[in-house]
Amino acid sequence: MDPAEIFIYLALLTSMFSFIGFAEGVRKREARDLSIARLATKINAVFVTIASVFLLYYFLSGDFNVRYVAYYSDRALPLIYRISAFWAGSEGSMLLWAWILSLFMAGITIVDRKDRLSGLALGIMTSVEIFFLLLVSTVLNPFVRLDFVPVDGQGLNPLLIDPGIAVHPVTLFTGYAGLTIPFAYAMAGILLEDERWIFRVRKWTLFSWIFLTLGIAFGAEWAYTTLGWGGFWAWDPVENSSLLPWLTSTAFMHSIMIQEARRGMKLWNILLAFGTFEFVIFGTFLTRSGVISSVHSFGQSNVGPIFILYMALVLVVVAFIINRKYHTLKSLDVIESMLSRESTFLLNNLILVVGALTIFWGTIFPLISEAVVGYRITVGPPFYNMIEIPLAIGLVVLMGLCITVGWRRFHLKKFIERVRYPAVAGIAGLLAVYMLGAGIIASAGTGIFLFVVTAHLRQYYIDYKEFSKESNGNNNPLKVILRKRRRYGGYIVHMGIFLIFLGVMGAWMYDTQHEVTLTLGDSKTIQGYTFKLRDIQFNQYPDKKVWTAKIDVIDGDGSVGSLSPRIEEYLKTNQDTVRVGILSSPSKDIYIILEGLNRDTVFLKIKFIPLISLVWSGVGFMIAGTIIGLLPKRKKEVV
Amino acid sequence: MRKRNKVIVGAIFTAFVLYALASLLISMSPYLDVSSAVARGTVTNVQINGTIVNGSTVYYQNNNTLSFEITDGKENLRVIYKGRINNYREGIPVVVRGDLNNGVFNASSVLVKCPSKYEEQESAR
Repeated sequence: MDPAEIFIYLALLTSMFSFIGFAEGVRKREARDLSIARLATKINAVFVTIASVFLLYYFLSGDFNVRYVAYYSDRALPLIYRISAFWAGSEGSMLLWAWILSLFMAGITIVDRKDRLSGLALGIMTSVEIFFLLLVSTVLNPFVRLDFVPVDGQGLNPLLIDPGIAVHPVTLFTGYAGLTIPFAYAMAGILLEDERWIFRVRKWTLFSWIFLTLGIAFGAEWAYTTLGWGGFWAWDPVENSSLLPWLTSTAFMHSIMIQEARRGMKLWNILLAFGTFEFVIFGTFLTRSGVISSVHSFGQSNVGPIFILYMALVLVVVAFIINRKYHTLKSLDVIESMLSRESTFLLNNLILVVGALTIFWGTIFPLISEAVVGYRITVGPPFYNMIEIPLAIGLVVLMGLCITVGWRRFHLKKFIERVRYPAVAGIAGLLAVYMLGAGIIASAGTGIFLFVVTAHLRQYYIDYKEFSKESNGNNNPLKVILRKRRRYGGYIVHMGIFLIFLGVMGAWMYDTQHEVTLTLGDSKTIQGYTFKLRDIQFNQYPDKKVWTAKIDVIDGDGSVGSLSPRIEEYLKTNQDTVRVGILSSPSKDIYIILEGLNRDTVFLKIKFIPLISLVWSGVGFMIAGTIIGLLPKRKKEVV
Repeated sequence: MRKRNKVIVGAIFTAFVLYALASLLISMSPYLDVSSAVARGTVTNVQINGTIVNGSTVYYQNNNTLSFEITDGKENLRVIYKGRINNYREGIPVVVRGDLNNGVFNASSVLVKCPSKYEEQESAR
């Protein structure tokens, strides 16, 4: 047995022990049991950390006797990819999951109040931890040793050799594991009939949401720079599965505000926390099971049935609990008027959940059709584009309206006063862009963008004026934001969404593609840019052969840059990989794919992708906004 | 909820479901193996999975087109694709998407399923 396996077993035992401790402690209201269980939770985190460090060490030292290490790395692999190979396959990914969850739980034992609510929530999280530790110690054991010592490993798949692998899986799994927390607290809250759970999960949810957002964004950027088709989102099943918990947790963060302020949507919040968790498990399972073919078909395993059983088990248990405690979940009716801020929150939740459910339906449709008609029918991007794009537009407009309608009741006079300037800005923007000769979509998109942005800025201006009046002329414009962190954190996230809205519109509706053949010294001009083939280079490395086309890009004012799209042939696997050349600017990306070449000619695909930079900067706004929303209040501050 | 509102919500819901079903019908693409595709003769917008036949690859440099055969062990099918395929290698499983006309498959996209592990090497040891 590998020494690391001993620590996995120890962690499993500790987890089982702490699970019993939490259950008994909560049942008998015994503080001592709970504190022992909390200690066991910390010890579990130490054990899982030690096991993980072992795996890291095996990768760094190149111990190819460990099967997992031999599968996913080799001697030629640079350091960063040796570390990242940790989560290149199913086994390591499950260990990573268990590791991150164990750290989250240890964090909760330290930070959160030590009462029955957190005790029961930790108990529920421990049951999830046990599930993953069981996987890691049995069917997905990364520490299995071969009965021989290979001279070298098989190396990492060339598509995985990208900085993306260092950040995308870790951030995504941190988001996934963290979203176990709202689920566990929701269940603990309903079992203990304690509504305070919603106050306790806000920070953890926001924190996990940051990582989930980052994980999705890193994945999108990785696809954009590596897969070589010039897009960042293809409605691939695994992409979809990461978006599902994002949508439901986003809905959750909004609907708990209604419960906090107005004591409504109690059952709904529990269902959202539960649905988010199920989607998290679904995402983990889909990535690694290979049930549905996807760009993520790396390192598959046949653990599908186990995950489906687990998801079904969670569903049954949750249904049972909700059924028993249903009478405690009476919500106050929060909707007094069809046009109020409450109703926009409700509509926002509806859109997000309908979005999630339709994406889920499209994603599992191949499995359903196989069961019904006997063969798989996949659902292509048109389905998602036809449904999710209108929903997204509706959501963006709603974000602007939400700010312009007041709480509780609708007052026409107030509404007109608030909507005036944003509406004027939106219409002016629409007309201006249309006059400039852009298409109807670009005009409408810009109009919506200006409407929602102005609605947010108007609110800021009013808060700012009020603030400087109250504080006798304190004119620091940042103070307002810091004073109302939760509100402005949210608004900044909204701004990020608006940027992404505009960026996606540009990149999806207005991208152009050109097939270009260039001979040495030759040049061609497309959309005002001249592309000149300066050189074709061939390089032989120990692990790969590389063909590079050196292309100068020149516009009216002179050279704007030089790109080197390449084809790499990895010798060990005999696989070709295309490395694109991308020239980014705020207004557009020039994206060149080297499709083929001979002695003096290259075949290129050149894409112009407008506004895609807004997508990445939008993500930045979303992260920054969430961090501002998370900043703790200083003790002295009176709000 | 008042009766009038119920009717409105119901109408919106029904309209949405119908719209979603229409989108679904437009976007459906059957996923077949080589034999059943060949048996159907001409089909459009399908996905076929098979393994690339060793030694079947031809690359036409003049128009940057790749031609290869895929098989499911029973039938073979010639596939034509314009452009470069990432991670291409003979002997590995692929999913091709496109239209089948007169026995030749015009692929609009080719998805290479490339496990990082090579089971055949493993069993050969």
